[in-house]
Amino acid sequence: MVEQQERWGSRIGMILAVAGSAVGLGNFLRFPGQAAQNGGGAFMIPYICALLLLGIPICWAEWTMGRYGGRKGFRSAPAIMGVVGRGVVARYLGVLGLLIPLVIYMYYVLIESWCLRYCFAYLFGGLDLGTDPTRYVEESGKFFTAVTGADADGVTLAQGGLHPSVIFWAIVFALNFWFLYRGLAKGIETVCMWAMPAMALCAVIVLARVLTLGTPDPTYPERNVLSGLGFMWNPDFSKLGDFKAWLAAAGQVFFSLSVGFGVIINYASYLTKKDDVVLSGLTASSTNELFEVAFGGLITIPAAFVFLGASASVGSPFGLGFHTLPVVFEYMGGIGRLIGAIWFLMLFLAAITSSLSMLQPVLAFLMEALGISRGRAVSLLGAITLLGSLWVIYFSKGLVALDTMDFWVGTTLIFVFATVQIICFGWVFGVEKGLAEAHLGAQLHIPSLFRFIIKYVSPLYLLIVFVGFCLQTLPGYLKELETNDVARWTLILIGIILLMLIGMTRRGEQRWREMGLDLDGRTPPRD
Amino acid sequence: MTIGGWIFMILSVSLVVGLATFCFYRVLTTATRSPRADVRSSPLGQQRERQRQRKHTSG
Repeated sequence: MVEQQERWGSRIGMILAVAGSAVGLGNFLRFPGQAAQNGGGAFMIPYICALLLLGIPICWAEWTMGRYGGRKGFRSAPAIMGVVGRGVVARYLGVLGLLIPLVIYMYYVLIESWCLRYCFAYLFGGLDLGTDPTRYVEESGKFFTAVTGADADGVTLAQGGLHPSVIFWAIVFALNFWFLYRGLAKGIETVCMWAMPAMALCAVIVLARVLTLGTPDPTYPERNVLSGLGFMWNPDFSKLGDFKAWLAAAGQVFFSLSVGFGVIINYASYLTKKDDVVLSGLTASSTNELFEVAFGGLITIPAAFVFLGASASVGSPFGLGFHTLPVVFEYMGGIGRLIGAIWFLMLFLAAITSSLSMLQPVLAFLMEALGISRGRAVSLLGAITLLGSLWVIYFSKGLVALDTMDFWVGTTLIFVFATVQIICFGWVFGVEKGLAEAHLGAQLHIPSLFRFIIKYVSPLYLLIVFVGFCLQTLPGYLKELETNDVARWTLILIGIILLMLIGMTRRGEQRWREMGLDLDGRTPPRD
Repeated sequence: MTIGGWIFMILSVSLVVGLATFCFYRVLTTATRSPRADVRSSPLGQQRERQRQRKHTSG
């Protein structure tokens, strides 16, 4: 086994790395849409409930399990889950903690490259919506389709890989692996130490511009900033009686915090028992909430409302971010190009800090399970993700491959893995022992009420949300599997990746046993 | 923008800004000992540190 002696360079760097993993496109694009559609300001009631009962408890559980596994010498989700869940079942369920970040990276890196391409298009030209305002929406849609290749399969690869989208994808892909190769402290941590403040600065600039828009078009006096903020924040309490609003709030908190991803568990494994996990976990979560509520909640919807009205201000996150907002920036005139560049730079930074966090857990696993060096593990991981990402690029029509991976892995399996984690922590490891472990080196005390929440409320809440989510969305996706070959083959590809990871875990299990490591968590850590 | 909208917006933004400020304040003002500091504070570590300093000044 190659000894992984890596450590975080600083505590603040580690916190920013976890926060960077959590802050992504969903903070700026998904949250405002969800809030506006589900009660506006009243949406914050179920949102805060979900944050307190679901997000933060699972977050603390992940940090604690990760550090505990790290103290036993493990870095990867299968090994750590095996230790915490005391056995082979938890260990193999831990493979989900590898599959999720690995598959999400395959399509996320593509979305990340779109952000960079849009940023360059604003800086150096290439995104021209013409001079006729009535055609802005149509032109913006055309540009988005050209960037994503959503009109036909293989369209971006048809020019021998010289399509601008493929070039940007290749640059972003290589950039991710360069930072990954540099290591935990020199690569991921350094990127996050720069990217997070830069992201905040970009957000403040865009926010300042949006809040000072006033009433840009006097022919539509009702379209002003205050009305835009009202569209986002005016409470509609009648929506609270609808289960869908509670479901949306729980889903938003859950995905936004990056819990159930397999990332936190790996990042926390590089900590020692003297390192705090309670305050660090809360700080990372609060940073994510700052970007989501204070920036996401004040920028996107009001900006879209001011220029395009209520009808254009809600929609899919992709539609809002890549289709609607370019129209808004065009309406802003000359400064709109600069604001557009800053906006997409911010999205790119949010995306790269997240994509890097998806690679590290799998990299740590390859080194740990196969006993190979970092360089060889980076090469192997590069080859696997390259094939998967090319699959998503080729099957671009209607973004079906991307959507299939996002639904089955980036949404459904995250629920499953989070449920496994919270049950392992609260019931198998034991909530008393778990909180005692969390309090080692802690600079903040977890209130005793959380014993009850972690053991009973969070698993039940998660289960209700998961069942509600399945009833709401599963039938549509199951039907798509019957009718769409690309969706079916993408699911088969995911299955093949899962089998490969299970095989590697089996190999790792044999190695760890030969080395006499305590795989099933029978004895306490020796540190 | 209704009064309710103002209340929800101000409370929500204040909550997340306040929480993040509190957390970062605690993180940045609470001294944490690095593993290297632990080594230095142990008797053996202090002895090695003295030897290192002596060697450094004599050299």
